Amino acid sequence: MQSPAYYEYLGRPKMISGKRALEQIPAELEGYGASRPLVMVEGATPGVGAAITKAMYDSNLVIGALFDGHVAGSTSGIVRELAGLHAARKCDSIVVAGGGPLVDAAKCVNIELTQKKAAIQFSGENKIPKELGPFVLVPVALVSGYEASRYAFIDGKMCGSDFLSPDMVIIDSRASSKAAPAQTLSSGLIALAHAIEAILSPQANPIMGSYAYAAIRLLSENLPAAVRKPKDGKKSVAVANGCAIAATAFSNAPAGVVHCLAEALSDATGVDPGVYMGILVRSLVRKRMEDKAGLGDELCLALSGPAVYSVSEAKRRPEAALQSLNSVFGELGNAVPADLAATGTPEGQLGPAAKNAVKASSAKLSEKECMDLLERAWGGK
Amino acid sequence: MNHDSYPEIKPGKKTLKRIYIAVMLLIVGRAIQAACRTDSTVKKEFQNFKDGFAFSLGVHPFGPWMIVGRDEKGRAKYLGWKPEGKKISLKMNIKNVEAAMLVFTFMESTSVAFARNRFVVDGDLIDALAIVRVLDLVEVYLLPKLIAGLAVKRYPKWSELSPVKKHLGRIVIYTRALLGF
Repeated sequence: MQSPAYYEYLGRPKMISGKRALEQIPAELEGYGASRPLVMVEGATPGVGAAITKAMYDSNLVIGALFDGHVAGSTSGIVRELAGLHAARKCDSIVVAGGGPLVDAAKCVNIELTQKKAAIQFSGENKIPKELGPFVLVPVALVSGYEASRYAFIDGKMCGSDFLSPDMVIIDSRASSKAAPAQTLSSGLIALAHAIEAILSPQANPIMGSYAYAAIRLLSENLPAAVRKPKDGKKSVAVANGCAIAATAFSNAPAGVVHCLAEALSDATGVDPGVYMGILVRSLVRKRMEDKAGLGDELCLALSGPAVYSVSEAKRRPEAALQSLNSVFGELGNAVPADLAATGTPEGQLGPAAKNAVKASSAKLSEKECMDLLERAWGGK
Repeated sequence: MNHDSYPEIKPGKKTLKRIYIAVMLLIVGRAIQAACRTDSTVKKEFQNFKDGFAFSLGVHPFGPWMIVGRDEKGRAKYLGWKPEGKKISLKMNIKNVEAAMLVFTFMESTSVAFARNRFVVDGDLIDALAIVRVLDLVEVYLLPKLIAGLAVKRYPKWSELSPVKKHLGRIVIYTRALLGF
């Protein structure tokens, strides 16, 4: 292995996962000098708020406020109200359990309180000048793929900053097993696509490869079972780990063609972006094999697993990797349509989606490349 | 947003679990004192500590704790459960009650709990590792093999601790621990 000529890698957050992980929150927050967290949980997910409250027993912490409402979207209005609650109760940290807009809103509350300005003013890249307050994420389902990353959304605009990565991700089956099967599927597919694109990214580096490898293995081996049995604590913890690790890799890699196209299609049709990413990432892997761009040894190993990889001839490894990926989708059955046409997406949406993906991408994507992938995915190739 | 809908919560106490841990710490503390007079390995570990050495093992932040020290003859002495007013050279705190329950219900061995970062150690790490070795040995004496196998890093072979020595030692240690000498 050669070290790249130059690379950067942000290794946040700290991960704590497994038995009694929630109970580590008080000691960890104490390490940051925090003792009054604002706890935010999704009201529609029963039991998580109670589990977190109980995890704080026999500690020096006082929960400043337990917000258990529903956050439909991360808007300036809800962020301002939550920041008001945080300030009124003299909170000094945030613990958020959930995914999607709730986590975006929590990150933006942290921006407003630390920077003393409206969070929307920090939309863009690297505009937050200093460290934010202690922030703990407890994943239920990481439905957007951004929750454990260095990104947050407010009013539909993205803020990107290293300081937005959570300080800690606490993965505990008491929270992760509360996700609905559809949420688990969506978050797993998004994470799988992010991890595969991270390995294939021109910015890939040894650390990113390690993270992506771990995420792909965790998801390949556990996602189908977790979707079938969402209450299975071990499987849900494994998937949550895969999602959080993939998000860290995603924080360090530019959004790839699959991510950008899936988001553009989802914005246009309302279909879950995870479903699109699942379909598109398979087409991307096939395309790379046919183009002879290659999958690279790292991706072949990650997709096949060490047992298959080590007994495959070098030239047959990409094929074995594709077979392994297909078998994961095979286990998922009808939950993921075989092609874009089966999602009910109008064919006329492909062109605009390709244009929007090119606009949204920070990587150098071409419209031709996007259309090519969309057409393949449309026919399930 | 009505702030009153989102209450401040002062976390409660896990009283029963803390009582259980306190009893276990009392038994283990007195058993260390007894084992030091019965087992040569434990005795040697304590003789290697400096004069005036004392350690506490407990649960962060409100206890319970046990305090064991080294007396002038180099033997272990159980010093009670209150750390206040005692000169403690090594403080070993388990980070929370639930992690302590994992250790004291033998679902997680002391060494695994250490590896999983469940302890906060204030003092010399070498001394802390010696204490972990002592705790492992004491657990071998106190517990049946089936349970001790879960609680210790590696259950001693016959050549290291013969069944006769183990069972005799167990009787002596339990007797001394119960009577407190």
